[in-house]
Amino acid sequence: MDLNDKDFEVFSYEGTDYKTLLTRKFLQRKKYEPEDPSKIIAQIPGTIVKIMVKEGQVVNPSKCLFILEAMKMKNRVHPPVTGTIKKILIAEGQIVTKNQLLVELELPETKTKSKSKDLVSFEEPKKRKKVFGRKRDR
Amino acid sequence: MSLKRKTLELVERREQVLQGGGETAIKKQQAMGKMTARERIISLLDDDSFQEYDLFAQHEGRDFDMDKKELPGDGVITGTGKIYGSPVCIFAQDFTVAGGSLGLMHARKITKIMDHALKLKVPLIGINDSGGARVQEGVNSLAGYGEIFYRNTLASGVIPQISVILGPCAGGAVYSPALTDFVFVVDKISKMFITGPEVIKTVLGEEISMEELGGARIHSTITGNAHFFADSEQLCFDQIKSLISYIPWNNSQKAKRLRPRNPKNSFKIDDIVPVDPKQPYDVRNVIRAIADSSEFFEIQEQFAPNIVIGYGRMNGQTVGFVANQPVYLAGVLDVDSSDKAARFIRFCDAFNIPLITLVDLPGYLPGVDQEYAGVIRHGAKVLYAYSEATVPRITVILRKAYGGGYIAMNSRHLNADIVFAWPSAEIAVMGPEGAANIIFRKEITTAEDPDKMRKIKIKEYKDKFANPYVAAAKGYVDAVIEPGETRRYLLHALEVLETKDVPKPQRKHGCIPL
Repeated sequence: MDLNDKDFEVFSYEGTDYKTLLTRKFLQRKKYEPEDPSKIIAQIPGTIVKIMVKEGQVVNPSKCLFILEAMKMKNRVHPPVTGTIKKILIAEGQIVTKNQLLVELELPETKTKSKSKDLVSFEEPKKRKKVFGRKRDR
Repeated sequence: MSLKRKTLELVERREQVLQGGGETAIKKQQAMGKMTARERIISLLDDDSFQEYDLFAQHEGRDFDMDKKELPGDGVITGTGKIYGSPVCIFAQDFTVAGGSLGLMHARKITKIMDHALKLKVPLIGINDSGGARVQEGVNSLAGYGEIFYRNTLASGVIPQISVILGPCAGGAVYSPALTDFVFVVDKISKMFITGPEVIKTVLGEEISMEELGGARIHSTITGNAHFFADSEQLCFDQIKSLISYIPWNNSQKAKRLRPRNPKNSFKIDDIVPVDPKQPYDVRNVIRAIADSSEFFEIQEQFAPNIVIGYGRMNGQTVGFVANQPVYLAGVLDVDSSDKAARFIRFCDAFNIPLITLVDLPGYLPGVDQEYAGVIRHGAKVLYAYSEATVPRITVILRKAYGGGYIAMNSRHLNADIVFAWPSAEIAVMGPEGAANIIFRKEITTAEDPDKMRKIKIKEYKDKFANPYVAAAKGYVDAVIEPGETRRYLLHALEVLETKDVPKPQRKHGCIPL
């Protein structure tokens, strides 16, 4: 390796500036962005099967916003915090990609504490018809 | 029928099977720029050394009209042979026969030669070129894969296992190479992935080409799944031969000793390494200045280049070199370089190859992505691998050796056998700039001219601590040596350590943080 024709960069480590090359992986590393609870983002690509809310509606984490079908699974998506629906950027039947912004919330100003709750929950399977139900009903 | 006639019949039968998948399929293989399985075996092994096993094996498929089909050798060639006179067991999947797909008999042939390798205690080489499971044979082909994985694991650390990817190797099939010690790939020919581009597109909507997803370059640079990259199959075989020359046949032997040779005069340590720890240099040239004939056989050259690993010889005997590479990221340890080094150290330890570690690093790489990727868990592997290794372990601290990075790089504290340091070594908790900022914070911030004061304090710290003598005074460095004399010191140390014998605590196996 001929070091003379390399474009060395400055790599600062604990106050010391080293002359070195940066690797492709280092340059392509994912920059950290704090999570924004007001933005509901698709965690997985799929289809919006049903939307249960309207713009302007006040919702809390127990309210399901919409159903995102992906990998043969109907995922019920809930807001992480309580807020007002500012904008719905999707329609029923729409195919969405990963990390696509789906719904924007308006958060109450004083409360910024985010409840740690899973953004996605799985729809419970429909209750099966009880075969011997009738007998018991009597 | 006379014996002569019967012999003629054998020759005829053999000729037929040797055709593999037939002319059309062979032409197709060549059109893809690939050799046939048989050509590959012949180019890799010593002349006339191949003894084939199970040439007349018949496949077991009975459903979907498979019983009417002839599959010569069931799509895989197996046998024994020699490389530079060293015995090896080998199998090569034949893409011209049913796309090299793996059915029950195909797998049986492979597991048979694997058992053979383990019994003979010789290296196993597998050439992979297969479309995957033979769907018509259903669960039988899955059983075949599983039985191969099981043997890969049993053989791990007993015999060296080499995988050569010369075609597609997808889905479950990738796990046999993944369990082996060295994976060889060839540009534009090798393809490895768990799920292909089509599945990824339908499930995740992400579009990517096969080459970008799992081509030779990706596995040599990004994933680290491959250890050796070559531009052609022939060059790949040359690499395999070199590797075989450096490693022993099995874990109870040492690598073949060659005639000792001095390094070339063109590599002079004094001209290679700048004293200023902020300046880069290619640490591989230091290895070349130390090793026999200045030959260094590098492993995973493109992956995590901030650490360098590979083989060389000292006095004719194979040694494993681990060295921080200041050319990349100042030589830091990170997730990838930790994995790379730890795995290499463990292979050397398993196969009686002494380790020489060259230290020049500022520490572990900071960053959210590193922390989130588990640099704690990955970095721990280096500590673990060094600590458990019982082969001779020698360290040379060239320049900076700061913080946790210093401890990890086979320090005295991890029970290295001997730690040398050059006069240029700086063994400290951190670099002078960072340390001065912490220790003299008050003096610096309250000074009339903080910048001037900072410079004074940095110099003060540098003069006092940026040297090997503080550590040497505590016995953490065994000897401070002249850089130009490094080879002489190493040769002596290796000789002395020849009789090293360390009892290990009784246990099934340790629990390395994976």
